[in-house]
Amino acid sequence: MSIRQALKEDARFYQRLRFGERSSGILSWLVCVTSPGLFLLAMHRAANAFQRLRHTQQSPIKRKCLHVLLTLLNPLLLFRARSEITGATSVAPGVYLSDRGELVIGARAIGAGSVIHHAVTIGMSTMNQGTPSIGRNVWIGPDCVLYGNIEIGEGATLLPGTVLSKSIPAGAVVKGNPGRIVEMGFDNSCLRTSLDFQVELQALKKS
Amino acid sequence: MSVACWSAIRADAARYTRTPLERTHTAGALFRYYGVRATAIYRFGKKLQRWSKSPAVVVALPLWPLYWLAAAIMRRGYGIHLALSAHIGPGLYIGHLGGICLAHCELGAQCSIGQQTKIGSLDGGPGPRIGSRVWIGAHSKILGALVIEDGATIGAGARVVADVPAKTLVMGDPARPISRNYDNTSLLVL
Repeated sequence: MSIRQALKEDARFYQRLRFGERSSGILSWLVCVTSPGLFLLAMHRAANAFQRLRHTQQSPIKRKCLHVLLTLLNPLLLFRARSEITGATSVAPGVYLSDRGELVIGARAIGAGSVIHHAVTIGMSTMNQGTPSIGRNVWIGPDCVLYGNIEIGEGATLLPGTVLSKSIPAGAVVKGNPGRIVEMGFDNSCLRTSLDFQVELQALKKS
Repeated sequence: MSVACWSAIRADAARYTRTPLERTHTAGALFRYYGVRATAIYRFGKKLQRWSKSPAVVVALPLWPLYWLAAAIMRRGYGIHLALSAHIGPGLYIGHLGGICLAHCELGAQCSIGQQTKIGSLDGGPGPRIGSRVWIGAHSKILGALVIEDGATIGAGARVVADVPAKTLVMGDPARPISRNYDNTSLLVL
């Protein structure tokens, strides 16, 4: 899938999260222009493509040019989105990265349909040099930390403020510091349809 | 005094470039790493503060707006807030940007801090006293009049509520000691 198609998919996902099923051409255009998260994703996809190109590019001059371009792109990203994401991460099309920024992402992969809220850190533990791999349709609440060589299963939910360094299976709900599984087989599609998650979290607390 | 300020910035830059002090290219590091810029702005503000208590106040007065502007850009643009009420030793390493707040605290030399760390006092009183060569992980909170001794390691996401002895690894919320004799030199060079 090309970068343009992937970004189209992202924009659609953002629009659905923000405005629900109501959608129009102008609205989606507005979302694309004003959203720092989407800007972050666009820059990341460009950087990722450049990085891949840099490895295949034979001419050293061209390689150097691409490297300079990458380093020039980075401060722009820092200022607009206030987030960092490594070019090595492979992000599937249709992912939400928070508009409120303060993300530090060094994941191996992020699956399609995942929602990552603000102030989330995904990185390596310094003991073993692996990074987390995030499955499809995962919901990560604000202020979470994930580190180490771990796998987050498909459809998992990380409640706000979780610190996780162990792999979790699909459909698990994780909470606390250190993170523990509090529920299994939870369907998080209600969380992933809007950015307002207070009501859903209340319901989860009661059950 | 001005020499002390510049040597501290050089010590910061050496942490980022991972080179010996005499071979560190400080200007290049200032251009390249926002962490060095953040600490340089903080040290510039500390110098102005010292000048303001001496006859050099004539020089310091017109320079204060410059500091305010630079510090505001760091705070709003990068989310790194190093208040002048903090005392930070030379060689501070800021790993990533966002949500960093240091105020009313004492930090020793050659420390590392991660993103989203909050270090300060709870009620405007005395804050934590942190020794040198301490590694403070991401999302950790060190609030209140605590003492953290040299070579301690604060794990990611820890909320420190008690004093931490030297060379101890603490983790969790509230933070508990995991290891009594933890060597954090491999973390500090990263």
